[in-house]
Amino acid sequence: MSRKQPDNIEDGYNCLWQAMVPSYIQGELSEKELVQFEDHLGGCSACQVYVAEVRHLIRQFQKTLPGPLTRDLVPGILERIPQDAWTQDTSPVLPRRPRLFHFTKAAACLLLALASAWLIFYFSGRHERSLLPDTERQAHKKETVSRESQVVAQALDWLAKVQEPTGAWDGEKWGGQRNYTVGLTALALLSFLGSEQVPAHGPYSDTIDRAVNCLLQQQNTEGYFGPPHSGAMYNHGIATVALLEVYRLTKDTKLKIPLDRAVKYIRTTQTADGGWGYFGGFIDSANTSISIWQLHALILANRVGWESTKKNIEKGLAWLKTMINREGRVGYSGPGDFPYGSETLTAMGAFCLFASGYEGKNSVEKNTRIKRSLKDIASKQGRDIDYYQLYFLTYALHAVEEGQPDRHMPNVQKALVERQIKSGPHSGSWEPSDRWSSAGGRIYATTMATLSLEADQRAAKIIGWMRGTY
Amino acid sequence: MSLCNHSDSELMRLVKAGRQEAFVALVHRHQQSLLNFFRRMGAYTDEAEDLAQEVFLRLFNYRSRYRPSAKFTTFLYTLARHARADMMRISRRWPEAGAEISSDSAVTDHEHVLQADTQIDMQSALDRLSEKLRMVVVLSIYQGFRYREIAEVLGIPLGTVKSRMYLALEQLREILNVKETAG
Repeated sequence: MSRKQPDNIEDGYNCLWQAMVPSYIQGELSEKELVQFEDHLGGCSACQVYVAEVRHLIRQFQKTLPGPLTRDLVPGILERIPQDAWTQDTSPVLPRRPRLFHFTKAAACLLLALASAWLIFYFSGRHERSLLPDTERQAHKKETVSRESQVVAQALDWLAKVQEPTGAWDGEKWGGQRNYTVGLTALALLSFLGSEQVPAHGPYSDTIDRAVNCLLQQQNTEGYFGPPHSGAMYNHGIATVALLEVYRLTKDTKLKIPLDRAVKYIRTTQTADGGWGYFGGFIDSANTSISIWQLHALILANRVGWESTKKNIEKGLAWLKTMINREGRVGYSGPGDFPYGSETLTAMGAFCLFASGYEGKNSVEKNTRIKRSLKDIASKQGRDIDYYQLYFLTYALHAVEEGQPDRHMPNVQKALVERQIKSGPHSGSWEPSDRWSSAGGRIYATTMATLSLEADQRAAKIIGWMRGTY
Repeated sequence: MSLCNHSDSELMRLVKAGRQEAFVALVHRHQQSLLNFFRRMGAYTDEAEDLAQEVFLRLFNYRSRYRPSAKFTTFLYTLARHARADMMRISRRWPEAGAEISSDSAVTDHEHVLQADTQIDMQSALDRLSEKLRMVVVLSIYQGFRYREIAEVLGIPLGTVKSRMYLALEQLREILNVKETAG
């Protein structure tokens, strides 16, 4: 989408108010400053452009990830602390060990890991399973499903264990950013709802209840959930989706008014084009990444009684359709706009279009191209898992294939199962190792992996709900 | 009850009492974040891991100085800043980005900026900022610190954090030629 140029752009670039823009975007202005700045912003088109540029810049930086740790630091640290130091108040600064020591230890660990992997592979007999006859293969499938259930159960146990007393899942504590704690709490809540846990029943009823209350407390006067920052609309969209799902299951009247305000906020922040941008529309350009969560929420809301959302949904889906290019790929802010690749956006777009039933308004040819793109993305899934992409891809494939999983996905899910941490303090979680983990950390990785593994049970219900048939 | 549910300050209290498992929990909780910090400040992965290790050792050595009234991450990143400064003094391996940027015409020469490749890697752009500006950007954008916390970590006034953030983003915007590409 092209951005409208301000009238006074030449003069405006020297506007003194621009020094306040970073503080404004990052929620660092005092209430008084905020009122003054927004008053100015309303009349200064150059500052509006500057806000969009700086917000875009911050967003670009937030999406880069340096890479995960190559080793756990604990053993090396403990080695350098003498045992008797634990009983003292202070201890002397310890000399550094030479790097060669680390290298030798890393090499030993690597050899040990390779040997263990080979032994596990050999004794698990996986190499023989492809030769099994149909009946035995079916039995193996059941075994795999059962294994996935166990993996999900372990993941939920870990998530329940690390929930804060407030009911939140703290993004920062687990390697992400605190600004996304609300969105992460909502993702964790969704994970617990995967098996249709009703807050009043089940082993995690207290966990769910506390998460719901925590989210409700995060709603501010404007109606959105979480702190004001550049990713606020992610928090809001995901939190609204999660609470709508709870509302569908419980019909708890305490959720009605907060959801009313949340849905209204999404409706009022829809851009003129039909999509949603960062931090509540205003002067933002719409983008697919933000828009999908808002659209998802509106569609769910519509199905449980918020009928006023119908026009917004149609407008949003029509906008989304304009993001699809000739190859059936979905762009970020235009059909050829792929700043971070097309795979995740295409999976997100396909999920929304097909799960909502809106694909009927596309030409058959266009739908075929989208499906082909999805299949292509599925076929390229490797062992380097992008949790966010995998989540949407899994659900999109369910929506497109109507319950018939893509032939590539079992392998991807198997890889996901294998990557779950099996022992130690993080047992049950997944390493925050993909490009979005700098924002969401271990909670993000674990919830996305869990939701992906729950898809076989969950997707049909969600999609049925979105289509109004469940 | 699992230590995972303990707050940082509770864990520090247990560390002071000699509980090794509380210290391990703290390391596990913050090691990735510290690694990210050092990587974004320009260290190679192995150096970043060494530095993170050094910070945790200092945390242990200075455990008696920690007061629960202070935010733990502010304390931890103050140690991180000092550890990095010490290592830079010792090795002088990392270039002083500030010197580069002031002598390089890339930021001040507008024509040059306009010709710059808009696809410059984000880390490269960050590397071209001065140490002071980069520190504020990394702590704010990546580590999620509030401005007042950054002021505490760096020992500077809040207003200075704000002005550094503005200057940093201005320079990054120029380096990356963000104008007309936002959206």
